[in-house]
Amino acid sequence: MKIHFYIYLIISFSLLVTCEKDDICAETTPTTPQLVITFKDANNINESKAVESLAVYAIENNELILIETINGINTDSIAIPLRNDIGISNFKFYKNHSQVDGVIEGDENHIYIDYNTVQIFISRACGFINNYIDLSVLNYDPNIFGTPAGNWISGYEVINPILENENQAHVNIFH
Amino acid sequence: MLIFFTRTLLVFLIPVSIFSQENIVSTDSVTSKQKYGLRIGLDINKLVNSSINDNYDGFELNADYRISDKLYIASEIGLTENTEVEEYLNFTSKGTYIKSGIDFNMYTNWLDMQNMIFAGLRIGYSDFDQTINNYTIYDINNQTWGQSFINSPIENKDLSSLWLELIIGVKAEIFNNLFLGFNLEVKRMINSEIKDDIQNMYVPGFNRTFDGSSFGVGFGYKLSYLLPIIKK
Repeated sequence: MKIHFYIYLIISFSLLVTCEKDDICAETTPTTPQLVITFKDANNINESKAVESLAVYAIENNELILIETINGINTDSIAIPLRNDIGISNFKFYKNHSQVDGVIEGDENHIYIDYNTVQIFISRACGFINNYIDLSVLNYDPNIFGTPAGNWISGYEVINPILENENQAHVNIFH
Repeated sequence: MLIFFTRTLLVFLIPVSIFSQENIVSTDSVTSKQKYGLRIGLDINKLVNSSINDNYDGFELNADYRISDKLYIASEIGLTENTEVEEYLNFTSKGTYIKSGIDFNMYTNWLDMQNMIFAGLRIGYSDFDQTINNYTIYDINNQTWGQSFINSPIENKDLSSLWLELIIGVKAEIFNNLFLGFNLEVKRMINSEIKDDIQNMYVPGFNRTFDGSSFGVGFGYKLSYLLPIIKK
């Protein structure tokens, strides 16, 4: 009679050890939103105006990193990622961009973005995403002395300073 | 640690003193000699796991006491410190738990044996802390700035959970008064207090939780010793 118990014990035990579940973050999970920018006509701020051959570079440690999806395209709206480790992101926006033998040509304009990050828990598998609040923009580099002024970007407007998704524009840029 | 053991003993002894009196009355009719008493044990699986797994430390004491022919009151008390490493985060849950309830023996014993094939019901309660030790911000557009690894822990202290547990298992006497048992547990969370909207991903005693589900599972591998108090 006791043998029955042992057999039952061993079988049940070995069954349990074999089943463990792995978690994978599903692709449909909401992710950290990008900053959505629309370009408008400086002379008529309600009209969209595409930028000819636009390229956007992120600036990190004085190095320019090209955002692969915005590489000399004609467009009136873009989405750019913000830095997650600190609350400032710097970009160079190039109009009429071309790059020959590693030399960047075109009309440049600095874009400085200041914000606070908020961490939002999603799940065990996906961890946390960032949302951004208190977003503000400058069309020049505040770390360079001189008269602050944009180059080809004459103005800007923050429509929505809270970034929770990419469903609508957060910033308008006038040119 | 010493305080923990003293408390544990107290918790186990109190129900015994309550039930032992009823017991004498209710067993008068039993004709064959039967051992009644407190069976105390510990969970071997948790001990083994603690020694081989760097991310886990657990200890559980259990006790049951026979109050009628088929019915036992049973309780487990334990402490757990468990760290889990996921793709985007790493967290530690640490705390104590107590489970109390009954076991119903479905196995007919010969004479004074106390072997069991049993089904049981418990109510479980845990008091714990959950700390996210470090995490990487989940961002599918991280090709530009790179992944952002954050090493400042998020600590959520004094969390609690309450759950119900169904148990099936066996206990067999392998030597005189020494029992070896195995059981499966299916749990259903009744209430789990969260902080900062962070899910309680692992609750001591309940084990891991699943997204969008209040169910949990577990098992025990228990060695226990019967202290014969009454023979009838």
